[in-house]
Amino acid sequence: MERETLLEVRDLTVRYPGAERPTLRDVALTLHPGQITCVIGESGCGKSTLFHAIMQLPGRVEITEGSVSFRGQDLRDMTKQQLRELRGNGIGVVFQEPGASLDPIRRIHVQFYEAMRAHSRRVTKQAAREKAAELLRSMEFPDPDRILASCPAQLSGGMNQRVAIALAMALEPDILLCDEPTSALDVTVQAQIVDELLRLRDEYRTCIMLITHNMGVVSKMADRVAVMYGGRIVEYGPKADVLHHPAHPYTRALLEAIPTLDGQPPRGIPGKRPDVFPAAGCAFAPRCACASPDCGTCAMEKHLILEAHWTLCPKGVTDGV
Amino acid sequence: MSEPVLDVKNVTKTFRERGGRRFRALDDVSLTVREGECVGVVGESGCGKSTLARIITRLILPDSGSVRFCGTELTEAGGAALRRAYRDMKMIFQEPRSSFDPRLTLGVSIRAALKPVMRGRREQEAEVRRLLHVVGLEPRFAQAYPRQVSGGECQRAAIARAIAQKPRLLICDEATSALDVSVQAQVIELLTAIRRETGISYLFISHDLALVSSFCDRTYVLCGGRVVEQGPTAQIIREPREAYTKRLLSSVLTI
Repeated sequence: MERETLLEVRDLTVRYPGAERPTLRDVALTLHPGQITCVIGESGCGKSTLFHAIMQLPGRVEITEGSVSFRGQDLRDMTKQQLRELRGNGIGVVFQEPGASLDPIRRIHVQFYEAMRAHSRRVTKQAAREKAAELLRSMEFPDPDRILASCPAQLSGGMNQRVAIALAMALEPDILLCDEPTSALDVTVQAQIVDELLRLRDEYRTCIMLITHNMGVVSKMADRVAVMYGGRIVEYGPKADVLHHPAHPYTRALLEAIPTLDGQPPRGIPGKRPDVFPAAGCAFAPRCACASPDCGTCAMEKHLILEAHWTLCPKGVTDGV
Repeated sequence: MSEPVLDVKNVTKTFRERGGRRFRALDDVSLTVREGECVGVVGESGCGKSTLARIITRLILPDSGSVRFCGTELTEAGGAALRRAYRDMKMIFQEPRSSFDPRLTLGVSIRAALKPVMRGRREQEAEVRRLLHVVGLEPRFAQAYPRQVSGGECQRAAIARAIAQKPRLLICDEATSALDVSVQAQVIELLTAIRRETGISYLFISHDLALVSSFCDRTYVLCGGRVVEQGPTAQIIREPREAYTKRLLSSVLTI
């Protein structure tokens, strides 16, 4: 059975205005309701650019090839009004800094009212407050009324992050885009946020796209994982396949760099990421343990390993599984 | 056994909050770091980790208790004794960029750390190149400004500056928390190599138990300003005794 498609990113190539080379190349992703997709990779790999392209923030990025469509409609064909509808009703956003989307000195119930009012003129203060209280209760705040009467500046980082998630959910978006939602938080709070997001998915069948470099979060949450390096998705597949049978050398190196509780020292990836992505060939080749001369020129094609699990590295197929 | 490099005994610190309430940031904390040892301090934000680091470096004074560093009582030391202590104790922070003067090149900043221990500009510049080599940076980084290099490179430069005077103790306050996992692993590898070669001691403050588990010989678990558990790191991870440690461990998400 064909599943409903919410967001489709097709062969997306994106450039920042004035930049010589694209920051994203041939990125393709499909998001379905109730599914959690995690995008992982180092800073500078293009994760946030993908985020900007999906949100179509004006003046930020230039799509040179490919398209982003929401429920079958190309975002570039949308009017300003439709885009406004999309941001908020269609796609909700949660940022890394817990406070970033909140006004620190405005009472939280007012912020809920304003956000909901911006999208629907008919919302009353009372209705907004009830909706907010319900969401906050589902985020495990024992006393939502006290939180609604507070300002973000009076709450902790973890509390603010849960408020920000509740605020993004107030408009019942189909998709929740989270950019590193747990990175600025303590481990115990991190675990709590992960649980809240999973519950939202179960309750509202929200589709979640999560940008993170925390593999523990990926392991707990993801259905699908996309690994990015040098502006491309270099490996994509179901969580268990990517984390336990990584095919791309970069995915393997990334997994070895993660500290674990078993006392094994993390192993660094030699070298550093390129500032400018190469025009042709594999961007990871200069740091790759199993690179060969033709890696610098080879075509970047998808090599299928198993159903829905592919990698850009031809070597990953032969000695990976 | 010889005297530990760092011996913190029964340190208590109370801050006065707005409105006159008193907040006990550290409560009867004792901790030792022996020669060549790597000691971890873990806990959540607000548990007193950074207050402890500020007391050890004598940026603030404790209400009571003692801090002995290489035989000097830091809470009473002043002038020359304190300057000597600061030569043997260095610190690196979470945000490497904010610990460098943005108007100076990395080379000038590192050379400034060499001035008390080395005369002659040519010698100093050769030593800067050697230090950069030790931390895995090319000589050209001496001419770079902090804003021109990545977070990982800047942290390497901060380590180069910190080890310039050959200290006996390096305090790392969340030194790798702001870095990508792969860069974090590189910096941990670097700290491990420096320790193997120089026998330096580390006090490694972190909220990441997984990171501490591979890097530190002994670990102190701090909660609400008190040491709730301490011991060999492997033992704390395998057989935590305190409920708080168990909770901390269970919230570490692993693959």
